Amino acid sequence: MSFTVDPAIIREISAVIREAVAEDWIQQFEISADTSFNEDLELESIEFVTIAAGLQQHFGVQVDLIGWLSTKAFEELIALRVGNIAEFVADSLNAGGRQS
Amino acid sequence: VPRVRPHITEPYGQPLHISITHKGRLAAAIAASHPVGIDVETIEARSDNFLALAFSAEELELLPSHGREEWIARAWAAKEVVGKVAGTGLRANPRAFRLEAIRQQRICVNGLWVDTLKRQNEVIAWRGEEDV
Repeated sequence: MSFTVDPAIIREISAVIREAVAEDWIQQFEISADTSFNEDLELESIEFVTIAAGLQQHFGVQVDLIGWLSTKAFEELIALRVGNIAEFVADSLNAGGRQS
Repeated sequence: VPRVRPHITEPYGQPLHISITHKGRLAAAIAASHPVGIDVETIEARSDNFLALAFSAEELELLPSHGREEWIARAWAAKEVVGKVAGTGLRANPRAFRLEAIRQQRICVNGLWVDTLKRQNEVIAWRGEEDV
């Protein structure tokens, strides 16, 4: 799978993931657009929700991440990669006027 | 995001359901002849966004205001337990597991009662009995 996303947004998302998981291994783990939340990061439910909450806090009301996630079916959620979130963030920011 | 439920790989001779959990230095397991669940969570501050993802307004009203962080951990763990009893996990959708009542240290989620216990900075939640 390939994504065309702003590397700066990937870095912002990676920082939120590292802060939310807050364990030694994640600090060294290379997070890219292709990184899968389920298969690569093997997150527990509470970590996934903590990351989603952290991203919502980081990007603010212009990016309705919580609303977007709530439209996703279970199969879509477990297939999510960092690039999917980055694309949604970029689209939301562009729609709102911030240049990415 | 879900975990695959644990499998028993050697023959045991009778129906056996197990559930396992760990967090930090604490690990726990439970086994019975019927579906069971156990979960450990850390008591820590959770953001408003976290609460909005995990609980409805009605659920949050059920939680005692005294020891708020502890009760949020108990409530989340109770949802995890009922997800494990169901065999599916939370399926990345904690709001589908609805907090219905709290009685002393027991929490009812989707009609199933779960025991909870605070141990230092963690809470343990489990359901071992079929009818409680």
